Amino acid sequence: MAEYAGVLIIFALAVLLTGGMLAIQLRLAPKRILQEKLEPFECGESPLVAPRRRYGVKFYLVAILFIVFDVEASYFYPWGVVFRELGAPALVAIGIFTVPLVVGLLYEWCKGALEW
Amino acid sequence: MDAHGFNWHVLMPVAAVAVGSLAVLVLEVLLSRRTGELTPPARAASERRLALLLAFIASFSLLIALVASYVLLLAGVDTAFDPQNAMLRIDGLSGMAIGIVSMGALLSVWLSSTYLMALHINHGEYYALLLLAVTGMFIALCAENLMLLFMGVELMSIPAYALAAFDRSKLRSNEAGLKYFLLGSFASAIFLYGIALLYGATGRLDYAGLQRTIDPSSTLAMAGLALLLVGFAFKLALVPFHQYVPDVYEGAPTPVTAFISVCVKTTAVFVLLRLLLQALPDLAGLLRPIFWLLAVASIVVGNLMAIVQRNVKRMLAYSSIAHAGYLMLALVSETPEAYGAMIFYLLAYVFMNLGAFGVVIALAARGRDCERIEDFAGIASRRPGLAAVMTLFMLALAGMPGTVGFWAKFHLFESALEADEVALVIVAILGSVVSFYYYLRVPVEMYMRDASEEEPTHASTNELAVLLACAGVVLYLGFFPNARLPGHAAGLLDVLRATVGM
Repeated sequence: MAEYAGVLIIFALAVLLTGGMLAIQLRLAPKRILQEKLEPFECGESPLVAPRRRYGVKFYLVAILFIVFDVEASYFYPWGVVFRELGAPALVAIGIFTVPLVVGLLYEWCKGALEW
Repeated sequence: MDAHGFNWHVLMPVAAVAVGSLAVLVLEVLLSRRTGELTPPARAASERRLALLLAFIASFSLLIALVASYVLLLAGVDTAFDPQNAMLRIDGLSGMAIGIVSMGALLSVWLSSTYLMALHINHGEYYALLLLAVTGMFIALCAENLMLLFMGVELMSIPAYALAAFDRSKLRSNEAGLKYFLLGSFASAIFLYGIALLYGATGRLDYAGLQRTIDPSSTLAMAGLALLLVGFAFKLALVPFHQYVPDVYEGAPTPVTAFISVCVKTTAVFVLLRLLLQALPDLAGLLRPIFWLLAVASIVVGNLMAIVQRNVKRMLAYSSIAHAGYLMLALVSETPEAYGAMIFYLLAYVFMNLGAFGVVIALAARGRDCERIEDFAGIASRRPGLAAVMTLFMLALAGMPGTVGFWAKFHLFESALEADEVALVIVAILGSVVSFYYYLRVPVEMYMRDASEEEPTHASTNELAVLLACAGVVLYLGFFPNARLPGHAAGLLDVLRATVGM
């Protein structure tokens, strides 16, 4: 178990640091409470409205596109760590993985999905 | 084989359709951008040209896959992509399966093009999604690892959900897509849970490893297997996992229904067959009663429910449930002859079913489907040719001698009899007799009722070509079921038996 001591220390430090920062800003920060500030944050949308109304589908589109490239990046990182050991086959594999995504980007660009 | 020991030619069919799908997607978006400033007639003409070009590219990539699978089959190839790591393998079974699926997809593409133009449906995405689904099917068919199998099945299913909802302005199409998506993803989750339990029990995901380590006395492994079978039964549309089928088949655009009913079912059967042969041969006695029950339930429920349908697409949906039930006979009999007969049945089903849906597509008036049984009244006087081929396909689906449907059922029932499954064969034959009633109602309507007032529509050349090809195969194999394959010494039935004779 001794080799996990570092993880425990980092965990404790993280709790201390974040907790400390929160405690400090509670004590020191100036507070001017307004109606808008008390509302839950909804990405610029008003949180309390009647349902069944039209809303911008753009948020949804951007979120989907973000997730696609987020997942892509999360595959690139492990590959980047070990690509020297894995060599040419891994390079080909990541190429096969990337090309359809680039084609997808080209497609959404030409279709105007990136125009706000 | 290159320096790392990969056999790249194994990827040929998968790569052909995957590249074709990307090419269609990009070409559509690049070529359709300039149509904005054209006058409406010029714009319609340019859209038609683009649609034809995309259909040609899609069929070209499917044709490459078809030829590649046939060449690999003739050469008797049995190769894994990575010999050190069981993942993707082309052998006789997957070569045959890829051939049948790509034929079905090829015919679906040419059934789609005019229908899509009439509905003003976007073509690029349609063909790209169809090819992506076919890519997933090929991966699932070649997989010899449960994880890769799951990837393939998902890649097949997700585009199929989108295709079912492709007629965006129609409420029923949306409903079909949503129902297919919700129930399908539920089935996928069950399937994945089954894989997880099997992995937990055996520690293996590859078929060969599973065969060595699976233990029938382990509750965990058997629970996993049961969940896996539920997933398969869903994709195969077997009773009691069939609830989504009628709604999806009725609501989806008719070419999509044709594609789903033929290609998804073929893939599911082949994948299940490979899993049974390579991973679970020792559990045959355990699985037989399950398949027996599924077969009887599907044959009875499918045929009885089809009788009361007033909508031809819905009737064909229930009939496809019944056909899935007949296919299960082979899994109960478990002889190489039965498996060969099952593959022959699938081959016949591709042409019979695509033909039947093809006539429904060809009769579709502009923007309105001809799908109620009353819509077929008097078709024979207006469109005698279409009425004749529809009668042929209906008789073939029912199993009339002289069509391929008869031989498909004959060989399947014969091999089941040889395996002493007398009760099951009696149920299946009674089901076939019942099916004559609802299949023949369409010809009765076409030939013996008066025509309605509607003006005749015109089927397009490519629809007629597909219908002629299907009718030709149904008749030719109906008279020569063991026809010699081009480039091959043995007859078709013998080749099919040999692909599973392990």
